[in-house]
Amino acid sequence: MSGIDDDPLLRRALEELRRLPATDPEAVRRVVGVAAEARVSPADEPVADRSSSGARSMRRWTAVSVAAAAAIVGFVARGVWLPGAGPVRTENVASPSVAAAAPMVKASAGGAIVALPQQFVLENSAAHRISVVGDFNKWNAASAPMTRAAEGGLWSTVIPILPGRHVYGFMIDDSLFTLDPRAPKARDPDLGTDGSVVIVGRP
Amino acid sequence: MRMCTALLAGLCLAARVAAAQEPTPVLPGDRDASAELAKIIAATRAHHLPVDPILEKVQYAIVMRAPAARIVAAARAIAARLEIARDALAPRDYPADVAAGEGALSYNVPKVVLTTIRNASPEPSVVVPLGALTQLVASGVSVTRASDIVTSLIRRGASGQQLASFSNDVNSDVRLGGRPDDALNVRMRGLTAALAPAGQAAVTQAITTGAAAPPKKP
Repeated sequence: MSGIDDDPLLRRALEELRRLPATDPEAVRRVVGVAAEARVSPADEPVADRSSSGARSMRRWTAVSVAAAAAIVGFVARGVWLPGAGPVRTENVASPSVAAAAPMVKASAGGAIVALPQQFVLENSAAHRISVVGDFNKWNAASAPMTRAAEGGLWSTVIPILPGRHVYGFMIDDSLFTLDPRAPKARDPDLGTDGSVVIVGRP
Repeated sequence: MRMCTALLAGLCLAARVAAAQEPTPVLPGDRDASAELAKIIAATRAHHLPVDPILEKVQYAIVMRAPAARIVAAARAIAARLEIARDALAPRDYPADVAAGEGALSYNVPKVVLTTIRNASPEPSVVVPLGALTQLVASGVSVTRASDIVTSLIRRGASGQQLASFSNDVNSDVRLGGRPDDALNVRMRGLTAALAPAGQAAVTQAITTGAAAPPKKP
């Protein structure tokens, strides 16, 4: 890596790559490695020899292609070019750690907004799996699984939710969306579908 | 070498810009609609408006298996309402407030009501009053009546929790067969008993916020 440290261009490229969101470290390492190999040393600069211009051009295009690869890494890392990498797929795409990483406190210009724990309960004896899905967890069934009581068919979970009005429902066995019979409901004016509503208010 | 440096720097910058973007939603099996959706989201973001309300509605629509054309139309409508909500709530146009304002506008609450609630609220954020208002209107209460009641409750010092319970209670009454405006009146009487008188609350609020000095006797 000492060669990279000596070259301001590659050092800059490395810094930019490090600022990218967490992605495949092996891919980043490969990109940086290839960039180091394609590096044009300062000693090459004053050379006016026509015979070496082809080699320099090759190196230049190699470096450009390496940089393009870096850009692709950036796009792919955020799912811009990967269909289905976004959070909108109905399959369970997120790990449970998504819920754990959800912010309990959201800073805003109006001060810290504290998420308040809300309990969700549903009676269903036949289900094998039930999750809470709503705008507060990006409708992701994997992020808020409910736990079944030791006896009977009562499922429950507690989720911290930011103050405001939220629409939600329950996803049963990853396929059936159902409303909360205990909660207020509202018809979505854009879609014409019903959703359960919880309004979280600060005390 | 200089050209190479410039290109590399430019592409690194492009990578950073790409990395800063939220993932673009993909509508299963409809490439054109997905592209249209991506355009709407990009334009919303370019106007420095929150895109979460659009993303959340798209996710909800996919769960509900809504057709792609309807999802795109909904996204377009939300983007337009976000802009109106921001204007109404300015200068304190926090993203959560703008999103809550958009929700109220979607139920045909007029823009001026958002401004009125913003000005009446002693709290920096109006997500809860706007959420309560939205739910009242969604329950069938007339927009004018719901707006007047929520504004009055804020001025009388109702807490966020009281507003949330109030709108939930009205909704329950309506679901059990009550007329929306009747339910509103009944629940209003219950909440009024727990709040300070209107005049006293207004004076207390004015003194607390320094909005108005008590009149001096001649």
